[in-house]
Amino acid sequence: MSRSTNLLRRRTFLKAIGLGLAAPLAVKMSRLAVAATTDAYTRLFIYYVPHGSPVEYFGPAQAGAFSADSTILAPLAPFAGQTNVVRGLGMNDGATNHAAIRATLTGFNEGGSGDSIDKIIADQLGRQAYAMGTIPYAASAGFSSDSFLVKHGQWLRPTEDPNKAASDLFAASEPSEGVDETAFRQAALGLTETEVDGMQQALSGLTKEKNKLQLHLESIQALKASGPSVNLCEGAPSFSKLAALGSADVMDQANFGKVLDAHLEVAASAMICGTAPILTLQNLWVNSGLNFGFAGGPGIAKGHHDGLSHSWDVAGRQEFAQVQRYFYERLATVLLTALDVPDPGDPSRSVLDNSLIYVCSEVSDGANHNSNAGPVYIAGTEYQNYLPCVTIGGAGGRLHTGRVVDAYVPHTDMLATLAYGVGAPLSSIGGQSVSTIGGLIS
Amino acid sequence: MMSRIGGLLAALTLVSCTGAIDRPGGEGSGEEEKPDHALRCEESRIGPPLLRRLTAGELLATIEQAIPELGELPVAASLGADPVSESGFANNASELLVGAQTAREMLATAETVATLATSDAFMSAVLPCAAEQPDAACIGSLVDRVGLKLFRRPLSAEERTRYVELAASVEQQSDFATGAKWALVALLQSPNFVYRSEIGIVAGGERELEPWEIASALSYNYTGGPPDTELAALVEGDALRDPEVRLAQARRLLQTDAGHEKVFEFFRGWSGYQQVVGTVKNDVPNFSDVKVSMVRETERFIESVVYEQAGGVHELLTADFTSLDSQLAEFYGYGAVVGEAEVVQRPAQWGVGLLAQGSMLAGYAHENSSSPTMRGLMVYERLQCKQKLSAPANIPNIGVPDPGTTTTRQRYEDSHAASPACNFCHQFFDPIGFAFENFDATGRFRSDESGLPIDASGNILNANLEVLAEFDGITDLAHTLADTPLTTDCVSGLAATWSFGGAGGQTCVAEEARDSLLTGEIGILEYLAQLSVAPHFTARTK
Repeated sequence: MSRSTNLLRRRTFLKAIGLGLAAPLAVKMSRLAVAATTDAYTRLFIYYVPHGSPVEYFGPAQAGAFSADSTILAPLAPFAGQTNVVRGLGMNDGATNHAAIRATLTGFNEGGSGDSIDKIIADQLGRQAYAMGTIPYAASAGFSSDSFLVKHGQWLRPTEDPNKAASDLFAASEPSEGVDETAFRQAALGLTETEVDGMQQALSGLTKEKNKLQLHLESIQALKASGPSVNLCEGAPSFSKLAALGSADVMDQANFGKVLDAHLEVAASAMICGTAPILTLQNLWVNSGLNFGFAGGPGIAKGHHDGLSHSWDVAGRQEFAQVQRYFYERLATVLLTALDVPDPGDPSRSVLDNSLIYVCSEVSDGANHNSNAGPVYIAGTEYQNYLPCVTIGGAGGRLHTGRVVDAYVPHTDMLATLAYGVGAPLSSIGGQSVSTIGGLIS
Repeated sequence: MMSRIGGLLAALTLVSCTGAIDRPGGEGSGEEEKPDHALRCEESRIGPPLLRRLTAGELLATIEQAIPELGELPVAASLGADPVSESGFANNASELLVGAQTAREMLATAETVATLATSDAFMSAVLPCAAEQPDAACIGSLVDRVGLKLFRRPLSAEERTRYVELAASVEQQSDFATGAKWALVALLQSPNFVYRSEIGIVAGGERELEPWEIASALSYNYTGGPPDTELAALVEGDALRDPEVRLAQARRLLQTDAGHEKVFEFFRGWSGYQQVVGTVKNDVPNFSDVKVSMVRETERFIESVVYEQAGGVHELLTADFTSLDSQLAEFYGYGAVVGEAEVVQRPAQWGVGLLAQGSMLAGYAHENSSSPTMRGLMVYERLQCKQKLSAPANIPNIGVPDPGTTTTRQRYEDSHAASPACNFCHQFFDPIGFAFENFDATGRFRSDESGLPIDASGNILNANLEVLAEFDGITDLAHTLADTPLTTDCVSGLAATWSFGGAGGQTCVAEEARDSLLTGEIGILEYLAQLSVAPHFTARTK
């Protein structure tokens, strides 16, 4: 795309935004007309919510057209035509119980030897993946194996502070004021590169320590190579929810709602503007007992793991359903609604049309601790349970939408489907053959 | 019931919980075998040479001491939490790496610090010569002074020249302050700053650490910061090669404020007492008001036992006092206390030692009930050094509490002991956890459980399912564990692992000191100090 075309599209986008009421209608009309796969790049947003879902309040009763009539998925009603539910997925590689968080995006028990899917896709597309976290570990216990979801060579600690995420995702694309110090940064990084390389050369025969320095060296080289990110928008976005968060402690459980909203707001802007095409938002961590009585939350003052996800009785499972629904409600209200605007890089479609949002968890049913698909018995009734996996968005026309699809396959096939959906098809993950889920591929 | 400690207890072998239950991390999972921290050897061994990336706390402490004019740094958020290793500590050298994320955070930190140091507000203090003589010599003085602290050694002429030339190059395109800033950025990203070198030089059949490496090891191991003036002076003449000199320095450093904080770092990682802060107890509304007090209570307790009484593992587990503020005293039911840290004797049945601390009892419990499994596992893993077990698949959550109808013990026995598949693993730790049953989910004593009698008897099994010890209640359990050599060996092994940043997986690094701790000849604080005379402190495998 030429620069002039790009600018034209930006102007079209801004005009549409300025028109306000006309934009959604324009998007809706264009959506009806456009079904072909777009050449515009597709954004991926992975939204992790721990401890599974109570299936009786989650699952569509049958395969076919999706309608958001379950307790948990009801907030997706305005986006029902863009939503898919995949029934039947189970964790790959014997990954079980809450420890399966390490397999959720890597595909393999304990994380295997590869990267998580966001990094694999980013590498294939020549882009950067970015991970944010809404209290993704216990401040009192530290970042540990209970928090491991995203793996970029090592387990990545998600960015806890939405302010920092906003800075990371937008600062690089903003023109610097005064003297441009980019060249000086490059020179300093070059000096560091030389030192790390020199230290590595001096460690003859010490393979493990040399490997450490090799990783360090590659990280410095990657920093040197990173330039200003793409920004399809003009000017810095304004963030009302980030402003509402202010300088509050982002690891304080009482601030969970504000932090989640601020992360979603920043993510939405980054997706619209294209500054971060591959994002992960990790909510909580496994066994997290975060109290859901926080301000602006679902108003259920119980811990997420013990008090809610372990519920067997009807009342407790209803409460857990309300809490899991809260995550979808915030996703829909803050992120999905924001994405329903013309794509500045492809104004004939919305950003949501050109995005793939994936909601996932590490277990199927919290009280059963199962990470597979199969029957569970709730109050004497049998339910078919599976990993609660939902996609939202048209993935640039690569996926069907508005469907409930049955696919009793390892979840690595879902990861492969995500990769296909954003234009980075994979035939294997971690050396294991994978297939896309047929019912989702358009 | 009196404790009956089998002689076999010390030789209790690792329980391998495999077989009928498929669980991750087992055979064929590709995981490296986890070290046995309780393992004892005939004599101390040395581990492999290591580059130990500084922890986030060590990085910040070093910057603060290198550029003290800035005061407390406003950059903590730039350096994120370090990963916690399987052994429970966030300082394992094999896991402290500089990947893309850490490199980004270090660059951001370096730029923030350097921008601040060269700003109008601080430049005159950080670099006084800038006002009168802003030249290469002035930059050189900055590099010398800051570099010495950051690198924990004087810079070589070649290194010095690199930074001075970088500053000059930048200055040509901007100004003096900007040149100084980017020289500082480069210093603050240097691998010579980021890593503590414990590589040494080959001497005979092993590697000898160099004097500056030994000084850094002492300083960071015992204070979490770079060598102070006294330590740096001892580098001259290789004085720190002398074990007696190192021991004296270790003892001195452990008495500093930073030394105290360092000791608490070990206890936090080992026991997890601070985890109570993140817990929720909805049935007890005022619990959230006392969580932080519980942490402070435990830290005062550790301070008393470890520092004031020079106690060992035995004292840590069996001391019959605690230290309460008024709010916590009321919460526990002790009645009124004077002041905010009154030492009180525990009532006879209210337990003893660290395990009876509210922070431990409430931290290892569920939201709405005690947890024999969590408490038993804590003892099993942290006091017996048994390998952490991953929960298997498809295990239904244990039944919900039914106060007044079923005791917690009954629920656990009905769910775990009655199921061969569950009991296969749970028999090794649930019976240990039953000993805690006189304490509810918030850490408070209870003589009955909603009117039902409490059975707090338990046992420890070996791999052959032979009963090695029996006990009744938390006090009995504490004395049983305190009298068991395995417990002290486990704690001493984990403490050495922590102090040496994993020691490259070598667990037998301080056998003489471990003997002394085991026999009660020395306490925990002196044990930590005596790690400085272990061969591993100055030598590495070739």
